[in-house]
Amino acid sequence: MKIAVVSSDIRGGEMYRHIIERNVEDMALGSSVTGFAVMIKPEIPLFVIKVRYKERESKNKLGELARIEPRSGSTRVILEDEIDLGDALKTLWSTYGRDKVEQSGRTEIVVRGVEPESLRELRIRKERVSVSEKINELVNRVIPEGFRIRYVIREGDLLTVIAAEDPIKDEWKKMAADLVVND
Amino acid sequence: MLKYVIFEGGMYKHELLLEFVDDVGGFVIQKTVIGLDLIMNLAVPEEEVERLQELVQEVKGKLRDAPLIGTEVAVVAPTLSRHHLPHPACDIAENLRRHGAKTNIMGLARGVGQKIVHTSIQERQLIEEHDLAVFTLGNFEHCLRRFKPKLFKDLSIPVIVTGGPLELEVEGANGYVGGIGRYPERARTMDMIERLRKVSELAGKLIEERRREMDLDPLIIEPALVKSEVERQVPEVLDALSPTPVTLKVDGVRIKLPYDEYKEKVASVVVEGKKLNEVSRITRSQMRDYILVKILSESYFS
Repeated sequence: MKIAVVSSDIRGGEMYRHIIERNVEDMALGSSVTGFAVMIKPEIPLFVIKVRYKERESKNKLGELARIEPRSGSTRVILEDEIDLGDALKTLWSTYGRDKVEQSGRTEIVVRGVEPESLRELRIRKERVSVSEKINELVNRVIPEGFRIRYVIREGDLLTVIAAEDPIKDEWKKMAADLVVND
Repeated sequence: MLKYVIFEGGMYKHELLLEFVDDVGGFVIQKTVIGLDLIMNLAVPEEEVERLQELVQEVKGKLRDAPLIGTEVAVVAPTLSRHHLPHPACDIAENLRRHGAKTNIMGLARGVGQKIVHTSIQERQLIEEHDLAVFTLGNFEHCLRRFKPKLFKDLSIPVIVTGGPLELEVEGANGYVGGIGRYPERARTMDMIERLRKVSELAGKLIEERRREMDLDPLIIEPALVKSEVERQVPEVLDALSPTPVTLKVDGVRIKLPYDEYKEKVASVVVEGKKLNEVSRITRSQMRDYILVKILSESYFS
């Protein structure tokens, strides 16, 4: 994941790079986001953020989301994406109890005394995960609160949000269009 | 003038300290026992600190300066949203508490942006109920320098501002600590903890300056004495669930009981032969429905 920050306030811009990194980590979106480009001009004030991400297919069963390997007396679940970890743990804990389910790695869970077959059919959530919804939430967490006027452009897997305190001008839209997201 | 210190040591022979503090006209502000360990916030006359130090060495304890004991500090975030809370505000508040302060965290309704930023009268009154305010602001120098001073420049209490830029002159603030802007994680590095310590150090310095100024026209009664008398004569306060039900302030106390129900009882508390309402102003606090007691200075009676 590459983050390009163009800021007239250099230190402020670097702090925003850090804010983006930590929020991506908190929301477990590391594998879904491929690149960011941010332009910050507090003197206007203007904040442009562009995110390129991968939308995911709708998968709810553990067998579709993870590699399930039998082990002696236990089953190892290796999730493909960290984004599913929270739901998977929640479901496994409520189904088999906390004493039988243990997270052994960032995307690994060990379930004791359960057959792989029954795990494959386990549904970890009712509704599908929408990466774009999570990206919206991420962008809202990053953009400074005072920049309340927003203009959103969605082009396939690229989300652009222009945030300011005044009505969005055409020249800002052009500046946003010129901002390049490197994957 | 009273000097505020924290004693850290064991329970063994601690009665000697209590006796000493009592004899020299000092106060035990807070006493916390954790197993066999003892932490006490003490206020002793400045000229007696050396003798106290000797006694502390005798009981194998430690004594450190804590000018923030007996103060109530407001840590003010621009809003209550996740952009500004919890990390910077809570880290700063925790560090201030470690230095003896009682802290209250508050979020403004409109402390963000460049055009909408402002504080309401009620917010200003609430902040001014404290002895000092720490404003935890954001990362952009331009915003901090040009737009944020209107949040605090009219406040009558000392103000410390924290923000992202390392060095900055902020109009209307008594001090600025850089490198603590908007950040999304708990302060864990030595560098960050050092910055938090700087905030507490600066707060201590400002409070000490205020106390020295007040010493030129001292309060008619020590707030610590009012606290102990209120606790003795209004025992209901000890049942209040709020933390530190009688909170010490530099120039008074905050009593965490409903104003309408207890104002008469608090007014009739006798301290050094005088009723409390004769030597202080008792008002309703903007914080919930608490009682605020502001002790009058000696010049008021001359």
